Amino acid sequence: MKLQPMVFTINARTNFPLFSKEFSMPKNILIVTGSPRKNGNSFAMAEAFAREANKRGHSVTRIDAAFEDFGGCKACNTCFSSGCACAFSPAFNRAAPALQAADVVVFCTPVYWYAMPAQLKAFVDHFHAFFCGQKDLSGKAYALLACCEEEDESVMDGISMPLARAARSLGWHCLGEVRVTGVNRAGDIFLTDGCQRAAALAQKI
Amino acid sequence: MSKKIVVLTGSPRQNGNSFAMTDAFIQAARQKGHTVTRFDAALNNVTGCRACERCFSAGSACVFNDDFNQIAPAILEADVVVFSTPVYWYTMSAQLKAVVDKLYSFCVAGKDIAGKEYAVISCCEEDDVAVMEGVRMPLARSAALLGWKCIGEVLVPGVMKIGDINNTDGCQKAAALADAL
Repeated sequence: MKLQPMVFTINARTNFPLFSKEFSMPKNILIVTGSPRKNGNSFAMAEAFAREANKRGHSVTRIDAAFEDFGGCKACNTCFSSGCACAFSPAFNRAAPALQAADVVVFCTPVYWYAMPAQLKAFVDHFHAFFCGQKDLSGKAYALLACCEEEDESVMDGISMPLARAARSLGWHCLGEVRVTGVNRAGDIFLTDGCQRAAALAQKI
Repeated sequence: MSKKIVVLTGSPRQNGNSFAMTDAFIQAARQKGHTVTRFDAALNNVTGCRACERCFSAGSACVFNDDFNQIAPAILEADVVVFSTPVYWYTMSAQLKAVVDKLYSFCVAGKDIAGKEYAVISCCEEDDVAVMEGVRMPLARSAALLGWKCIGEVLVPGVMKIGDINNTDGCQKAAALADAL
């Protein structure tokens, strides 16, 4: 597979040939991040999750939506008509195979204006392609790693609810959510148990 | 009193249902003597916020110069901001969210944008109006943070195909929203 700049695959299976019984079957995990801050708090959680998932023999692919150019859905409904998922978004067409192959999709994001950032929403909006093109995307698990500046956890509902309802309509089940409040500056996450909780969630796979 | 209104739309469908409601609102608002500036996010190019916090440092709102910089001065001046969007995956479309995310530029630069009024015009395919909560709640909480007051929400479930809105009272309700100005 040709590696794309922002879509890279770490195949840890080969690094861990000896699975003990406590290791589950290796799964394909897609982590999709929404933050534009490379040293930010949600990225730290994404890395903690990825590290633990790798350690347990899973294959982790990561897509950083804020460093891609997905663009929004144009509702043209020509999805998959020319073979690829989207007639307008080469970035999404590069990401689509990883999404289709994933057993677990992990959304990792800060809260912007009480919802996910536009860049991550653009990725999610392109899920329409699979409905429109009648491609089966069901049966996956999803997880949410989110953090916000405010102390009130209900701030996260603007992300949790849309993802939960989207998952239901896609036929996905929830692996778990890690919602960390009260972090803003890069590094604040290390003053919380956010990364530990993200790693613990990876153990549930 | 004549008010300055900015209408931000999120639909990519130019003949779609939220656009029909938007048109009805704008027509009614103009008839009442208000000034309306419309910005169709999905027909322009607005990228997401990069959290660089250099907003307004080079004059315009965002140093990553996209079409947000065209509408930013009107938003700053507006008395009323109307958000119009279909529901995509249980919240607003990515294109409208990109505009909302860039409202951050006013906060970073310390621009006074408190005291505005806002309204929501939205529609969705499902019949369950609770679907709208993913649009309504983030806007309501953002408004509370900004010090904006809600003058109305027109939330119409059960429309999908172009023209479905005409089988509802959505356009009438959107036009009536102008009475609240």
